[in-house]
Amino acid sequence: MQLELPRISELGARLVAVSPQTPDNSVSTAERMKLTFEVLSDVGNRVARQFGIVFVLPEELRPIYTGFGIDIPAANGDETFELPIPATYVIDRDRKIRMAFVDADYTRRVDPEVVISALREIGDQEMNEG
Amino acid sequence: MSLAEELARLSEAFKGQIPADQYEVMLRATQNLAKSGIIESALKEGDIAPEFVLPNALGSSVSLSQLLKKGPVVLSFYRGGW
Repeated sequence: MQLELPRISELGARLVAVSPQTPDNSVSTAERMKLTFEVLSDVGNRVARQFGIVFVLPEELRPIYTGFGIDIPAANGDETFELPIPATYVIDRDRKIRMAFVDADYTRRVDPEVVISALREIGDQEMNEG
Repeated sequence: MSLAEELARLSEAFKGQIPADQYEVMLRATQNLAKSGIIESALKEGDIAPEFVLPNALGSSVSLSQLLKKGPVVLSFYRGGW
């Protein structure tokens, strides 16, 4: 999605990334300096829960992640092993969700063209409403 | 190559890099999650997004309503940078 930043900005929209990681773990210091979009820290998945997208990483998966060198409790600052499923939402000024992509398969992501077309639709509508 | 094709290719490459039994556990977990009803209960198109306030990478508080004053928001939830 980061690759689509120029097009998202051109359409007057903002990209906002949300993860359960603590602010310190969200981005390295170097990255922090050159960030061109917001990276928000949703500790405890409070916001993700309101979107209905939180799950608990099954116990049998935990040693596999540890084997990959991924320490989820350290990254998130808790022992819940709760994570959001990957989800992307396009939200208009009235807080209405205009496009939703939610997938149980963590390897899949929203098609950027779908995001762009939802933003175009919002832009066209705002123009018509003057 | 589209993003979906590229991800499918990476996913296939990953399969070759881990033991088959581990891959099976991961695949089954994804299938169980898909069947859990989480997709159906998640907020969807037409719903109203909840207002929220969260800290950003610099420690400042950012609210959805404040972001929306400047235009539409593409909100992307991810598990982590790991």
